[in-house]
Amino acid sequence: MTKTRVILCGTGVAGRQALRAILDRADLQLAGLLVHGEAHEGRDAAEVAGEVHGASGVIATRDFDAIVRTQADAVCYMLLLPDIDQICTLLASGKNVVTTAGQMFPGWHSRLIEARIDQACRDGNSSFYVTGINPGWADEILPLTMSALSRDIRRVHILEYADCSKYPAPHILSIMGFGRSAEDIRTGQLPDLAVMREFFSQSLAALAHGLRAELDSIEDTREYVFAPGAYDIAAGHIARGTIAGQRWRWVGSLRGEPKIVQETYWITAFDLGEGWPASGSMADDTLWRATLEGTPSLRCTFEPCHSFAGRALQGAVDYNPSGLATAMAAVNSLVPLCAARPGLLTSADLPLPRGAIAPA
Amino acid sequence: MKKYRVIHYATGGAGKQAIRGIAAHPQLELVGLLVHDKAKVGRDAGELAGIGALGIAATDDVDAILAMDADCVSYMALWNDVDLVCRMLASGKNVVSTAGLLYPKFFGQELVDRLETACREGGTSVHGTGINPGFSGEVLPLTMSVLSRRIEHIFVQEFADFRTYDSPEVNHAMLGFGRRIEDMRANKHPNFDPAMQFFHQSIAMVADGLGVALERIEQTETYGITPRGATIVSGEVPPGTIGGIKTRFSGIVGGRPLMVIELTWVATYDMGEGWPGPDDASNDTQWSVTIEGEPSLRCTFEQASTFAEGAVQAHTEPAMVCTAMHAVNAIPYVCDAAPGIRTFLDLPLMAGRYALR
Repeated sequence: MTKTRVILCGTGVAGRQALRAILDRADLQLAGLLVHGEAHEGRDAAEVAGEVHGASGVIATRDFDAIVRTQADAVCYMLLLPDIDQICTLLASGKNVVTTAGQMFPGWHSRLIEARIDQACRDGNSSFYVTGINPGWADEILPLTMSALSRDIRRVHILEYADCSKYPAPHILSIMGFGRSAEDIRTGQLPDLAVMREFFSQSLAALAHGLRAELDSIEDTREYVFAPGAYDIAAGHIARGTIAGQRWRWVGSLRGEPKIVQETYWITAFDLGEGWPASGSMADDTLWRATLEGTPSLRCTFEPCHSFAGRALQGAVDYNPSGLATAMAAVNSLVPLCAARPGLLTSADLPLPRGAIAPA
Repeated sequence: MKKYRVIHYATGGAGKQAIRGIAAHPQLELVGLLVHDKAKVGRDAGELAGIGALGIAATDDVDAILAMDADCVSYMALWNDVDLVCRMLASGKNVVSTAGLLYPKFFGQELVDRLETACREGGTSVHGTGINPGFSGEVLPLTMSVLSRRIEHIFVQEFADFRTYDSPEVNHAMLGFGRRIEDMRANKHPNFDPAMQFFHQSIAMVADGLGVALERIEQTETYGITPRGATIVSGEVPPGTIGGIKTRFSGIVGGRPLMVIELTWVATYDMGEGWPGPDDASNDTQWSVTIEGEPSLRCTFEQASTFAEGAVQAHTEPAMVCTAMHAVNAIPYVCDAAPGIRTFLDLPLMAGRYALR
């Protein structure tokens, strides 16, 4: 078997999951590992991944130029924010790039970025693809596959419920704004999450493109609900009266009519009142529902979970079903992306997505 | 925009929906209609489909159809006629079918060779599809698997309510509603096992898609007895007879069931433990796919006339539209594909292009 040589960039929660998966797979060969922080620099990739036995022979580096010089077929780019310069350099060096960090449909926001990525793909005869659980699977791949059953679609609605209370990352408070006051909102002190907003807008645009419908606008709005009392979550403290839940809504319009809507409900508690997810509304901490109203009307409700069979959780403490799913969406796309035509690709340009049964 | 010229075959439940779908699809143009029934010959395709006239008259002249210039045939006869499919392919027409052929490899090399030869001769491709098999048992689990690191078990459940399905032959003779278990077991309908082979091919396709060797498929049927009985559209289901049938297919890999498809088909809701009660089903048909593994994933799939609150539901029609449209929407992809048998494993992610209006 010819192995696909892969470089991994980024070792956050999803990055480490991707690293474990790449080291496990018989058809993938880790060729390089780019890390952000000093803590992992100089260590063997298997040690960085944890839970993997034996050394991989690949040493983590912070030297991006060394990574560019490394021979590889593909890069799994899992940094939190997409660095367009880095991505273009990797593409131009002949490596296909899969990322979960955004730029799913860059032309929606910037013809310049689109043109740069496109040129880099041409220079390197390489391709670029963005995926993840959402944006990606739940709001693009799933509705696209469902749409194949449709005669006409009047409206696409994608719903996300995410319970952020068990997620131990500090950015739940610092970046997403949970636990911040109404005053902070009023005075514009909250991070505006521009990168994330653009990511969701672009995934709406990518879905529309897959359906061969060109949207004329995508509007986003953000609403809040405040904590009825004080409580603690994994990431820290939520004081009474501070942000306990937020709903983002992206509305994509076609000829002035709202046609593709995504709503994300991010919560830190289940008692936030009417219209907010109630306790028992999901099996684990996330739920997605894609509804296509039309002829016929179709609905898929999708939930990742540790186990539906009562299997006990073992191993990694940073394990999170949705984080792992995001990492795997990228890892499982590496081989098909290498076989695809060069250029900026979306899920609609690739084969039907699928995984592989890992060796036992 | 490139237009694909389409000949449609058959005007049953799904066939009528397909004619409407072809008429509505901006990339497709209906150029011919083949029918079995002499009474339909000469009638307009649109009229047969319950929409306005399309200017295409139905014919039962197979040779005339084969001589036509067209890109694709949408084949929606109830049974698969391999000879006819091969003649269509060899005459230069791609074929999308809801009558089987989802995974010809499962049925053996002889079928594969016949189809591939016809495809080579005509420079054409053939694709089999549907809703289940076709979506719930293949596209959905495969698509979900892209999120998996490790897969322990795949469980596909189908629920279908047959109370409004107007076929005494299927409901009573083949599935056994209203018959005694002993009678059903002793006198199995000759089409039962061939029809169930449809679901075997789903398992074979998914196993190949995930890169594992399927050892065998085990099939079991269990029956539910209705204590009260019922009158359904297709006829009587007397008390003490079969009110439900559960068919399970287990795809064995490495000595263990890797993928199980379970069909729960009912004519009544009074069969007790292990069978759906009147409040359990939100709809006439529902599917769920559960992948147990790392991570575990579950997707439930429903289709209806509308999900708007309080709206009146049509019954069997949404499933018919899904079946037909999965084939109709595949036409441009199949026409553009390299010649040969093209399954979900070979084709791109197919979408309902231009359906959002």
